[in-house]
Amino acid sequence: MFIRNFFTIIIAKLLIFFLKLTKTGGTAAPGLLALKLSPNLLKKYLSQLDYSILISGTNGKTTTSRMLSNILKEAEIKFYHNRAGSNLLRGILSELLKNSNLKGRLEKRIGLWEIDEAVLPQAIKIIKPKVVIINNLFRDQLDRYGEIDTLAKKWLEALNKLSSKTTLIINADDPTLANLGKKLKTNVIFYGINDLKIGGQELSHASDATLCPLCLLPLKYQAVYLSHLGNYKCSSCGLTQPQKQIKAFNVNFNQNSYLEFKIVAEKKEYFLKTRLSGLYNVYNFLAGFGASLTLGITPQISLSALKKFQPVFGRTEKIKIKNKSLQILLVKNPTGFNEIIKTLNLLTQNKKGSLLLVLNDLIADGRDVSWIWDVDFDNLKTKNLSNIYVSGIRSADLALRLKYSLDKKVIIISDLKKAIRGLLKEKDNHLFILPTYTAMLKTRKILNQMKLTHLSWQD
Amino acid sequence: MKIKIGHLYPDLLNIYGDRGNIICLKKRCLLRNIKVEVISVSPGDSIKEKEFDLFFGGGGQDRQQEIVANDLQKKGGILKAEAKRGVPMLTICGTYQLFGHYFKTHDGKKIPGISLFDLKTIASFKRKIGNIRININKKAINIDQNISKKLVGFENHSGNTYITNISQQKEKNKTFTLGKVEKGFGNNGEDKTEGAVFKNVIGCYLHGPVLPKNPHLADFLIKKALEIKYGNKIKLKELDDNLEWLTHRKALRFK
Repeated sequence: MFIRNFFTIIIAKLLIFFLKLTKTGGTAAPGLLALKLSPNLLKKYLSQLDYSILISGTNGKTTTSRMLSNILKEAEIKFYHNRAGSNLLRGILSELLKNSNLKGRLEKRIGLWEIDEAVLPQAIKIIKPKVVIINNLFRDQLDRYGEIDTLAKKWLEALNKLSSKTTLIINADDPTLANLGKKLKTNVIFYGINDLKIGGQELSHASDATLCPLCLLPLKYQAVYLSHLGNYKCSSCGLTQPQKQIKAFNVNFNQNSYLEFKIVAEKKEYFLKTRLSGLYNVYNFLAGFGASLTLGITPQISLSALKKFQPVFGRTEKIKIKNKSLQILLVKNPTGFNEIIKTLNLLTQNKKGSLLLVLNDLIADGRDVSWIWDVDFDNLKTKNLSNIYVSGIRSADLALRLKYSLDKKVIIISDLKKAIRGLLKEKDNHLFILPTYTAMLKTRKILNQMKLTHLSWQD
Repeated sequence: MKIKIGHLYPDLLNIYGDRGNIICLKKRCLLRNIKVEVISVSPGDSIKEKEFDLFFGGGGQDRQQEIVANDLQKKGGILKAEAKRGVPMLTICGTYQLFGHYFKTHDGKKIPGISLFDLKTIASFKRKIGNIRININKKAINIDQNISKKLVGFENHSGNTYITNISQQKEKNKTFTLGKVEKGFGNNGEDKTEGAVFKNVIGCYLHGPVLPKNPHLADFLIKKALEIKYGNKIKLKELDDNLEWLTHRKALRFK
């Protein structure tokens, strides 16, 4: 077995070297290969770690894990993190292979792992984490994992096999998750927003779990923060939200549309001034903060890291090109898209802009593109948009979707490179690209080739 | 002219972007100056004969589907009578299954349907997911085939649907297959059939949503709705469908 692992590590390391040399993007490939060659290697690596933190849920995995990563750095804790992109087991293994010596020894003692929601049950079983964060559960890529209820059930089964040393950090504003949290035998910390003033009253079309998880009748929402996340109760069976240990309130957007809010945790009140926009980010902040408290990191250290946190690539970050700004906003499901539309409306309120939307249907995007019909495109304000381009493998589907909701004609350019060139030639100073996941990776590559970004695969 | 669409259980059956079908029907009517009213039919609501000119029902998750199955028993009689009168209906995935005799779950429980279609559905452990393309069965249904003889969509179901052999069907009006699978799984992944047709009622596993990129199917439903309501032949005004057919043609090439 030892010999086998040794050879696997050598081969995988050669592959990592080769991929780096050729600047090929497949960061998960070494892990995938190693899983095939030495199925027990991952366990061998994991047994050397003191503990692992898992972060899962449909939206906000990357942002939350990077927030937590910044907190750990601020606290001078050394850790491994699958930040290169793959959130399957192969991505974790790739990261560990890269960092181990040839004998399979690891230096650091902690793992921070972003985990795909479909893989979570398997990951829990293998990794036996100390902390699990579950941020939300949306109907993302149903073509991959079937149905939300089925998935939640699998999570519950896996989580209940964990020892009482594990702490679950769960969003109490998500009815399905809150109900799951109540059934868990391990420690659970619930977090959420309590701010009626910032919440809406209307559920969007993309809302999923709006039925009471117990009696299946529609839930009553006092406030809706995003999709089905909000302050709810069931007027038929009396189901209420669990008590939240970590709460956000007094949520405001400052003049740059950045978030500011207060947090109550462990009977103390904190104020957090952020550099992110988008109400959904409050949940990411709370999840990251909650995990850091569980790990024994002081609130001062955590908040100081969170205050400095900058957006992640494809998650509202800005690229300066001469006198223009280009913003890339990742879209991957109806809820996320609806939030991006709100952000876009804010950003183009007083200034002209142009827009490029890119829809792909590869496995990482979801093969089924039906979801674009659940996006509320009617809410997109086109008054200040000079031109709207669509591109990607499924550009025609997207153009057709937009035909039904926008009064404006769109320009279809299937070839992404040509579409980006078209967008960059627009006279407006504010340009936006809204790509799905693989389209975002390709956009990044093209911008790199045009020498407009200096972002590598590791970013 | 005006049509009234009954949207079956939109709060419970609304996954896979199926509301796009309603958006599509509405738009194609409005562009022709046909007024449209869409009314949600929810559990507990009663429906009357001649109340609606067209019905639509989509797919849902298991637990929602069970609520629908219960309530549908109370509406089955009217729906069947309306179907016999020629009222067009489009049922997809979950609703399609419940328009048959029953859905047999993994543990052998039979969830009863309304037997509008002469078919049954049996749960399987193999989820059938992917792009699908079928050749329309012209003996079953008179969809305009001038531009395309096919329907395209995306399927995602684990149930296997079996239509009763035509020679063994007792009804005067038979349940036919909607088409032959050219790419994909279809009803059950075994017999190359996809969907079902009973008079002007269509059942199928095509998401996508199906109507926007199959304008010939959308117009079939609108035309039939008007013809049954007003009792005369209708010729629909042609629309600019360039983008619709572009999407359709592209989908014909999907792997």
